[in-house]
Amino acid sequence: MTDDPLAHRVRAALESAPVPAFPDASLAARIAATPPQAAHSFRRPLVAVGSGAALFVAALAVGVHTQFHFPPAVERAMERLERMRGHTGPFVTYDVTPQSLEQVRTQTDFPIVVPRGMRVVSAFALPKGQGVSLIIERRGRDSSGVTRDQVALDETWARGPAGKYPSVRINNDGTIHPLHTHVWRVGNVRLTVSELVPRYRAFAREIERATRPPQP
Amino acid sequence: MHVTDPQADVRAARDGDRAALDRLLAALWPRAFRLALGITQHAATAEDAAQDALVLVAARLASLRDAQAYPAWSTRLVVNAATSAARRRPAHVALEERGAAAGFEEALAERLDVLVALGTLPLWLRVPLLLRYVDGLSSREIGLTLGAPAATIRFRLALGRRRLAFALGLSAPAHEEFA
Repeated sequence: MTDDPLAHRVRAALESAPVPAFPDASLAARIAATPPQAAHSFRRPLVAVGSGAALFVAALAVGVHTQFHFPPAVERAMERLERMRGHTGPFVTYDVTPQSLEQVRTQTDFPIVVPRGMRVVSAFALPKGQGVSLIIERRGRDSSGVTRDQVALDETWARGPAGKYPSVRINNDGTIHPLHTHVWRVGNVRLTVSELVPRYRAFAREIERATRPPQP
Repeated sequence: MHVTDPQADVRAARDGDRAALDRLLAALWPRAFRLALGITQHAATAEDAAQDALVLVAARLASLRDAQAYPAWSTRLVVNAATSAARRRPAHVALEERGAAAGFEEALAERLDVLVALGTLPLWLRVPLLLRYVDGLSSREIGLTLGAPAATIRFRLALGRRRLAFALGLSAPAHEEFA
């Protein structure tokens, strides 16, 4: 604990402030009226992770193996997308645990660049040093960004110019939505951020129709 | 005196033990209020923010995987609730009410001076300083709580400390190495 005159004055000012009585009754009522939010914190990374995977599957347009563990509906949608692109290999999955940005920074050997003004909600490192997926709070809602080493899985994507690219996001229920992916470079690190953009709705509908499983 | 292990309480509360949750919230309450008071500069707003944070703690505790992370996690919820409340509340209202409070309780003038001086700092300097001085967190721990690198926190602490000393009319503080 810092103990100098300045710290002492600040501590004394706050510790001497009378603390209101513990609001037992009102708190109990508010807690009873508030549903547990455990499912929310689990769903958000999955949706965002899903969009990160969509960048690999759809935007990279290569037959990379699926390297995330998703809800079955998401995995089926990803499989449909990959089948459409000619990939026939096996799917590999593993569990993803969202971490803090600081924790992820200790696992990577390349700088993780966060755009100014954006707050990283959580992050996770992609396997084999492929990059880091960041769950970013942007304009009041979360979106997903992927920072990647310049030497990436797909040379075409890694060397592509900065700009906007069409992509898709796969939701937990397997539905597919359009994304508008912004890509730019800071030093050796490429950074992509996906957003829903209305004019790509037709693009997503086309993919969704093409990959829709046959109705029984 | 009945002494309980906070981490055991976290695990029990996560599993639905209401008594354990009550113990956790009651233990968090004074710290949450004081931290919120330092951030919002207004007792009623701080009380509301601390209550909001405690409700969030109760609602989201089931999603906390590591019981050891509870102190930093709960602090983050308090900081977020208090900074949101401080941003919603116009600064001039807080200042007027501080003046009234000073007149009401002369004995607290010195302490209110500190609160007024803290209020001159922007939130991005005030919050790390409070976490350092009141909660005794290291730069790394503050960084984990606020989602910023430790080096950034050290810079904010040094700058906040200089500005706070200036606002209190003190001479430049002696150099402090912020761990």
